[in-house]
Amino acid sequence: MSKRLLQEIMNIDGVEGVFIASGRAKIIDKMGLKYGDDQLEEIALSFMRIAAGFHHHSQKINEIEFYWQNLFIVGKMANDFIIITACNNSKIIPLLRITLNVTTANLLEDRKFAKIIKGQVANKRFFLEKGEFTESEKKIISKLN
Amino acid sequence: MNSAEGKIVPNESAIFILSKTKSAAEVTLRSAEWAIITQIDGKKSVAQIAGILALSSSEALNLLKGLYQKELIEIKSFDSEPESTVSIHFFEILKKELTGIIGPVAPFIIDDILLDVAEEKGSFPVKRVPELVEMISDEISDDTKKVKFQQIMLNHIKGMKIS
Repeated sequence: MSKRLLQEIMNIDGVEGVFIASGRAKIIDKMGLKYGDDQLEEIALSFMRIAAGFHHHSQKINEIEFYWQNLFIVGKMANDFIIITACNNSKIIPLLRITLNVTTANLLEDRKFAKIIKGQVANKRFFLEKGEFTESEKKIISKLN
Repeated sequence: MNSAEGKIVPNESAIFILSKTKSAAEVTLRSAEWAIITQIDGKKSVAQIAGILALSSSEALNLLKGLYQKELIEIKSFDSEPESTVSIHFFEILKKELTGIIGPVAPFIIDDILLDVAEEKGSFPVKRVPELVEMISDEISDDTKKVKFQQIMLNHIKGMKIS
């Protein structure tokens, strides 16, 4: 099912690629991206660490967007997984956000997918305890209340 | 851009092409100027390039003006194609679907949001439809109903030329 849903996202004009990562930042599925799993996991890890920072301050974050290597990266966070999309046109971001919302809801209803994700649940604070913070992460954390 | 009294006057609708006589490799450019150069294809207007690179129109115009003065780009035309708009029928569908989700308050919410985005039903740009749907969705407090509304509207958006 996830392949069909990822294809729906890929069908949006301007989307370069999409991937789903588990709560442990492991790649579950991907489409259209030229980067290796190691690089994608690094991206997922960055998202998880930002989300973990917010979680640590009792704030919930559903979405993160940033600009990286001439691409607009949009990450939609669910409880135990994240869908990350790379696109080359900022004008499609509202359409992308709606599509990601619907895709997330559909994935949550898929039993097979839920089983995969359930096996990779991680404590959100785990990402804060792992490794050193980069300067950009420190800046984000400093803005939290 | 229009030529007035020998000066270049900015215009968001202008379309540029790369110069046939001078290459960008011959001069030193800032990264923002390179980003602009990569987007010039003889099809995109200044406003479209600004949107893609997440720049304001004035920032994009200033960068283009600099590239034009360095003779790295040429003006292809002063006006891009007219913006396509959605039909009134779309708003009837939108009202029907939203009423089904949140009840008779739906038409008022749609009108309020149209006011917020400074657009009218008769001339609403196709490219702003997802933004409109997203803003309306934000008015639906129940997450399940919100996703249901977005799912329905996505089916209507499919086929529209958004980018």
